[in-house]
Amino acid sequence: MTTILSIRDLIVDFKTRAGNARILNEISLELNSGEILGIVGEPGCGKSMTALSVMGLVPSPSGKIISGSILLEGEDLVRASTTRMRQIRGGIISMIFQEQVHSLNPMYRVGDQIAESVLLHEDVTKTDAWERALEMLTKVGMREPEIWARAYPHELSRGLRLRVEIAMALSCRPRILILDEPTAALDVTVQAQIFDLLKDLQRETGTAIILITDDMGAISELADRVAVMCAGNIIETGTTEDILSDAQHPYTRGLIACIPHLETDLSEKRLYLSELKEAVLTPEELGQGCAFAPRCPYNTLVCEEIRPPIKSIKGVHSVACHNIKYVVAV
Amino acid sequence: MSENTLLEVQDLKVHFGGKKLFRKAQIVHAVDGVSFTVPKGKAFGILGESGAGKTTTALAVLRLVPLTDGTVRIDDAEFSALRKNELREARHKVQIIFQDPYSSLNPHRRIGDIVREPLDLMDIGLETDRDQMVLDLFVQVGLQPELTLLFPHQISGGQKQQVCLARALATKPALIVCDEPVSAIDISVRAQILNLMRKLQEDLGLTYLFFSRDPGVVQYLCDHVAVMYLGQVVEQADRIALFSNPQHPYTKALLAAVPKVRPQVGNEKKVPLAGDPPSPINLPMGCRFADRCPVAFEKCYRVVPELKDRGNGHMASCHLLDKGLVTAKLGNGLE
Repeated sequence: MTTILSIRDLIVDFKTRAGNARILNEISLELNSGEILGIVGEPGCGKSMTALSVMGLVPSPSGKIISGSILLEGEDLVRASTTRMRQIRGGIISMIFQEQVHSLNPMYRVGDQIAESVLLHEDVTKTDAWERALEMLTKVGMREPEIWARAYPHELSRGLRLRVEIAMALSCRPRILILDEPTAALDVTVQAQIFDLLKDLQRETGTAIILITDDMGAISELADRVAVMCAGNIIETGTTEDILSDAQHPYTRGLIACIPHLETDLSEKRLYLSELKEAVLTPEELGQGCAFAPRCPYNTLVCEEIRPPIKSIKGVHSVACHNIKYVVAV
Repeated sequence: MSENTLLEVQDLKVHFGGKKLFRKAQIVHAVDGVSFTVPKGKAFGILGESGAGKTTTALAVLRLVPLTDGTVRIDDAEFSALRKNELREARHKVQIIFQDPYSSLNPHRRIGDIVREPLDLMDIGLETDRDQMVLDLFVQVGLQPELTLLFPHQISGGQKQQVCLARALATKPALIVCDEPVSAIDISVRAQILNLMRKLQEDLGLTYLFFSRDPGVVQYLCDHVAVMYLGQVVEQADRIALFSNPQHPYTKALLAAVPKVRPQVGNEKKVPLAGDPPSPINLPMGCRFADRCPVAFEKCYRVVPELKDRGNGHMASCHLLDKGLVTAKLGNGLE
């Protein structure tokens, strides 16, 4: 397995009226070719900002990459020119945004929108691009692509719109696909269809996928490896199994335990859910210490003062926590 | 109506649309013949995907949309037959919490005033006591009383839903209708709201009519569950029977589609449902699920199945169940 994308010590700051907010705090991540990497965390923890940094789409001028590098097979994207970034976006790295409703143009037929991205990135004729669009629509499971390609986005259901987005994102055979909460607004039966489709496509094309989500269920269905983010920091990484069955960081455990999971063997006895404290500090107020310290049940003095480094505990499973040996299973 | 029943919905129908001048009438069958009863002090969950008619049912129970047909009885009053002032009078018994706390609180008013409004409107308690009542309600839902002077944009999503709960509790309702109360709030705060709702139920003996599309949430909070598909109830049972032994092929597929976080023994391959639900305008002739059903046979496309008791009050509507065949035919695929 080769590393295709490597993010090193990335720092992103945002200027706000309340001061300087550090949205990403020395993030380091690696994506291997052909794997699905899940990035999980609550809203506002910096998951999407990590993706936008990779795409070179950090909102400017309020946001700024302060330091660090994003290496795409040795090429630093932080220092890449705008022209080069335009080639990379959609050509080498594709992204599917959270709100599919807003990311398709309502004025154009979906086939034309897919063909447009092919025309932009590859030296092909319009007829070829249209053919490619039809081929991609078939690939994402839309039978009778000639009919669907002539449809407008509003004529499609949410599930079909997402399929079109996937077709568009994969139309130029990218090396990396970033999915930002792809199934957040979907029903579970449609979500299951999309998960199966993504798995099949990934097996077929070998595209590496970054999956951004707050849903541990999606992680367990799709991801090979997981990075858990909390307030701009990566606090735990490991294989999906490491994270789901052997989470070490109190934040990760809290995230897993606070959702009512569907159980099959039920009893009359009913327990309360364990709660994760709500974030009270804004990014401007976070201090030097551990990002989770203000909400952590194991909080000690050292947590407030020093940010714990991320250390490997077993193979690829790494955790950033001072008190890891005291943390007990919930 | 028995002693224990608080809410009884009989053959509820809500259709939208009607005659067009030059076109054929297009009628949306949002809710089409739904019946259920909610016992006092219990949480009754209605599980369904988008387009199943959950929100319309919720609104219909409160008479917030015109009913096409059917009756709604709350306690002993026939809610669906009440007129203007009587309806207003009766409404203090039922309150609702909406899906999106961000848009259901008036941004121009302080949250204390928002909670006080139903007290003023329904003329509850002495005017001089009402400020204290608001503070008590805040404490009851776990908010600090000092927050009353804040505006909705100054508090977090979870706190907004707590304010909505306090407002709903203000009239001391017997029934609270909850339309996906946790789907719009952050994943980390959901547990807090769900725990609060259960605690309030235990403390005050509330009855919930709880609509959600998340089987995990329904399983956590509800005692009885009905599953809706395209405007109709396809299965109904108590919590344990429904989740451990689902009968209808749709319920089976729905529960199988939920991603499992904890790896489970015997992780067999799931067969996802194909396609989307049909349009509620041109309804299929037979069973509404037939098009997507993995085990549908010829009769399903012709005849509408009835919702029948399959033993111990476990209701389901499926032709295969009449023959006792679903489990056999489905094999392990959807179990």
